[in-house]
Amino acid sequence: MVDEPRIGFFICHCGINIADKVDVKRVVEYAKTLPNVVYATDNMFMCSTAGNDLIRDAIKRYNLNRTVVASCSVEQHGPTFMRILEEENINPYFHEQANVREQVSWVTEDREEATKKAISVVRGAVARANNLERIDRKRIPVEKSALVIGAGVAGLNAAIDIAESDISVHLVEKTPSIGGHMTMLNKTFPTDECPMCSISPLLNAVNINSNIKLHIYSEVIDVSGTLGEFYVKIRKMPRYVDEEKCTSCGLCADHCPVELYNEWDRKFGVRKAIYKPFPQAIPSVYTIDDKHCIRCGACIDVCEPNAIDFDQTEEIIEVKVGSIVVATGYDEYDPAVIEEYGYGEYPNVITQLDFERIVSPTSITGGRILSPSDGKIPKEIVVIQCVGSRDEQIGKNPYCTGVCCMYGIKNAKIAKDQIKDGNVTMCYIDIRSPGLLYEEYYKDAQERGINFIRGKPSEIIEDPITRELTVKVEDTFMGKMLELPADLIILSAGMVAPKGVGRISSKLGILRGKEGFFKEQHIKMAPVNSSKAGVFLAGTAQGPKDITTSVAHGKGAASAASILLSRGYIDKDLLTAVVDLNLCIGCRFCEPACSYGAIQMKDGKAEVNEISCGGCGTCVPSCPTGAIQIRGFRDEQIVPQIREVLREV
Amino acid sequence: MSSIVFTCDNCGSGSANTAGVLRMEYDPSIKIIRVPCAGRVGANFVMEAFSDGADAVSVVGCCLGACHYSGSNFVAMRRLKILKKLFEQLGYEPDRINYYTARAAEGDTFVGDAEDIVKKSKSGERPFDIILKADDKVGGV
Repeated sequence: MVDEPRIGFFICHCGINIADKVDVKRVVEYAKTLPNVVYATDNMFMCSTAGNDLIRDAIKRYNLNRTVVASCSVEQHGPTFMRILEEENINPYFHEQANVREQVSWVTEDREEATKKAISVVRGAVARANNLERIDRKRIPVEKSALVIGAGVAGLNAAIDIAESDISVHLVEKTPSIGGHMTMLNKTFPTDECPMCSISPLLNAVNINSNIKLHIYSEVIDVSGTLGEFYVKIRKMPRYVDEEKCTSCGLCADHCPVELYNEWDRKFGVRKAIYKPFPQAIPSVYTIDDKHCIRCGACIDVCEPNAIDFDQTEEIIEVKVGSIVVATGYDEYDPAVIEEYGYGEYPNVITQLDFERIVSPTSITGGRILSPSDGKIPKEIVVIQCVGSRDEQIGKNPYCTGVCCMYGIKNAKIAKDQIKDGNVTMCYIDIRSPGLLYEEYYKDAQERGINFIRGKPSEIIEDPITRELTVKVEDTFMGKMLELPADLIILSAGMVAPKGVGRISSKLGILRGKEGFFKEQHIKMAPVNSSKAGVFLAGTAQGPKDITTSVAHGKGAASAASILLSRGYIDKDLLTAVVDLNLCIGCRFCEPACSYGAIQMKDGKAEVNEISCGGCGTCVPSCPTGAIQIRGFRDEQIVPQIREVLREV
Repeated sequence: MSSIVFTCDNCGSGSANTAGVLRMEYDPSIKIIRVPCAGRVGANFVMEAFSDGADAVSVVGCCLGACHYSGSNFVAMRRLKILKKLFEQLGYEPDRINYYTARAAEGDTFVGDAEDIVKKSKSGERPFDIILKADDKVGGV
């Protein structure tokens, strides 16, 4: 039973900030005439200790159960005044604030107008205060474990950080090994370090950490539940090799008769139907490629520990976690879409990732740069920037991937260093090298004699007999059309959202931006939060990033994901949707209106999950009977406010 | 003359407050009502405001793609577009219902919206005296 409202009204002078434009005494007199206002007064600074005591005393003396303070914005001092109510054992949501500073005195020149506007704002606030309700706080226990989807450099960092804070982690990776794109690289800018050397301690740490359960060669197929209690289904594909028994000796691969291009080597290497993508792959276990295996049994014959097991079937694993980190990474843009560049058609036109696999020490060429068409050393190398990014016409990707300038420069330098008598030319739109050591890296490339031409090539032409390439480009500084001869062309293809990311996005119920990457909750203030509570984003899943930023982002996501888990519970003020079951007709209009997926039907009526409800109220206007409302912002709380604000004073 | 502006709790209210901090003057006939999200505003709020004497009703939300409540501002914008259309079919000036986006960091976006609202609300006769009394209605659209 709600007590009869007894409202105390307080208006702040804020020095002269309010009192200069608003006749506070007149507002006080007016407020006294408003319904259920039992006490009204003014003070120089309501936020001061004296002002707070004034409220505290009035609550005691006049037995107040609600307060209206006309002062600054609710963001500034709302919490101050709410705390007083809480200390006086009144639900803090019985406080209402009328903003007469930012929205009245500071924006109105005329004193009479300002006073009138202040009165109408106060009228509205009192009307709202009369209809306020008690809002409870709910303590929600959480499952102390997390799911990380994707074991690239961001996901690995997220997983290890969560695990180190003593929370168990389920790490799911689709491919047969962990490490992601970083393991494919030859060098990393701006220090030209070996990426495998940087990442392998992390790979080992993740592999042996007792808090991390690895689900390799697995996919997330279903997610339900909400923050603190997600139910996840993981499908583990059969390797046909017993992970416990396999010693990674490699005899099986030596005897396997099926030879294929190695996808991990970007087809610049070969593997067998039983394979390990790369020598340092973790887990160090062989995998049988079911699609290409001819079941000849050669591997079974040579395997000493009897690890080959063709009876394996796919497994469905169900886990319960408290929070989820999505680190699904990126795909390199496929330049075949740009017909003018002839990628896929001309063998000597390759992408940067292809180049990484050619020049890497473990590659088929032993790290030597050779033209794919004839295996000769290319003397004229052209690097083309902004392929599939900053391109609104063909690639339809207006965004800048941000890392291509740096890895383009890196690979141009590597090529120039290796082929001393060759020419390396880089065609760019703008060179973007922000951050410490990056601009220096670019300068260094210029000094080493790499030619930089400002212009985006319009076409690549191949001589069908000699395989010689010609790049047509306008040097926009000189205003001259150039035709550059080339033996090898490296396309700096941008980052795009990986294939199949739409499926996981709908499973998780989180939003993606129009570019296809997962959308962060706020671009500045919540870059690791997804649109859904308890689901966090790490690395390039959220947008193009370099390794440094991906690591930072992954670690940020880990921290965000573990905050609630390490505390063990969430306290949530239930400013959430609530359904009047007598009015609900089960029409389900509210269900799609909710972008949090917090509304589900139960026994033919809408049911709100208070834990995942964000409290936006978008469901309310969709309800034809007014059955669904938002606590604290119900129709009967806002409608009287509208009416009173508009009443002539 | 008066108009109601529903500001969302995030960028809408934020931009109005920033306008205040920067002491940017605008028409005192503009009355602000705080809602959690632009998506909270339905046809009943808009019609209520008109029936209570508002000359224009506007909703100010976050920038498209920057909603703090995961994209509800798109829903709000779509709803107001439908309402505008209906308004036009009823023979009223659709300009009296408007959706704006604002940036919490920039007061001038809010003041710009406010000036636009005043201009639009002055552009025609008051559309009607009473559409329906709010007391009669139950719930939302």
